[in-house]
Amino acid sequence: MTNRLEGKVALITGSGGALFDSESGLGFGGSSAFRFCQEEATVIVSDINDDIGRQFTEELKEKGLNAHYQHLDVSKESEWKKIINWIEKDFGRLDILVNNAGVTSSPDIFNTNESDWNKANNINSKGCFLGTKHAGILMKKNNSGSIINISSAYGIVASKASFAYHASKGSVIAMSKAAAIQLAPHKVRVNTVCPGWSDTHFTMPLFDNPERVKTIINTVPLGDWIPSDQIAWGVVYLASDESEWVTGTELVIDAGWTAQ
Amino acid sequence: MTNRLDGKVALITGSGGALFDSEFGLGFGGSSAFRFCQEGATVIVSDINDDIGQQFTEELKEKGFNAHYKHLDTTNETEWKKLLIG
Repeated sequence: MTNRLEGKVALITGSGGALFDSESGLGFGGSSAFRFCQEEATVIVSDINDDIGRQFTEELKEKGLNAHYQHLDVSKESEWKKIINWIEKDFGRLDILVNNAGVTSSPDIFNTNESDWNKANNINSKGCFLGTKHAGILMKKNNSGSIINISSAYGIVASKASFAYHASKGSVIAMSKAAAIQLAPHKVRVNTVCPGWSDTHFTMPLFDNPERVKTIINTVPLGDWIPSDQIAWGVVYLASDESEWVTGTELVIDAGWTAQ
Repeated sequence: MTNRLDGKVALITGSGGALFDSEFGLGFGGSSAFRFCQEGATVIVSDINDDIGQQFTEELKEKGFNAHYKHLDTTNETEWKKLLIG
C-alpha cells in the first residue's frame, strides 16, 4: 500500500457488482476500486446493483479505506448530471473517472437484433460518452483530470460472434482519442485500457465448458487467464501522475493475444 | 521511494550518458535507472561512454542505491555474451 493516488477523488462505474469472496473475483471495476483505495484515493463506487454495491463499499470501509457508494445507470444523462453535481458539492472536485460499466453481447451480425445492439451500445459506448462529457465539465474547472475508458481486445480485433460488443468497444477507442484531443486544452487526459481474456463474471459461463476454456487459453501467448487485478494496475498507472503526459492512447493488457 | 521492483535485477542499455546535473536531464535510460533504484531494484547501468556511465553509477551509489556499471556496445554480440554470461 503506497500513495500513488493520494488526495485524488475517483469515480468508478460498474464497480459494485461483486464482493471480496465472490467466486469470479471483483471484476475490473471492483479490483480498480480496491487498488485505488490502497493507493489512497477517495473512491466513489457506483453501479446499478445497489445492494451488492453498498455491501462492497462497506467491505472497503471495514478495511479502513475511503470509499462511498452512489447509484449510477451510465446510459442515462440525468443520472450523470446528478452524480457529478453530488461529487462537486461533497468533494469539490473529480480527479479520475473510470468508465468501466459494461455488458457483453454474444450473437453474430445475423442474430443481433435492435435490442441487442441498443443494450451493448447504450451501456458500453453511450455510457463512456456521457461520463466523459459530464466528468469533463467538472474536471476542466480544475484544469486537470484523468479519464480511463475500459474497452477490450475485442475493440481492436474481431471474431465470428459478439457483433454488437465489438462495435461498442471499438467505438470506445475512437471516442477516447477524440475526447483526448478535445479535452487536452483543459489538461484532462483520456486513455483506454483494452483487457484480453480475464476471469471475471463476464467469462465465468465459459468455465462450464472445459473444452472451450482449453481452446481459448491455447490462443493466449502467456498461457492463462489474466487476473482482473492486473487490469486494475494498468488503470492505476493511467489514473496517477506517473502518466501525466499520456493521453489518447490504449494500454493493451491481453497476455500477448492481439500481437499474433 | 517504494518497493515495486524489490528483489529484481535489471540491465538498462544506454543508461550512462548523463549525470544528475546534466542540462538535458538523465534521458530515458538514466531516468529509468534512477526510478528502478528507487523502487528497490539492483540496476546495471550500461553504455559505451564509460567515463560518464561510471560517474553516473557513482552518483546513484552515493544516494544509497544498488547500482553497477558495465560497458556495453549493444551492436556487438560478443559484448552481450560477455556481459550476460561472463
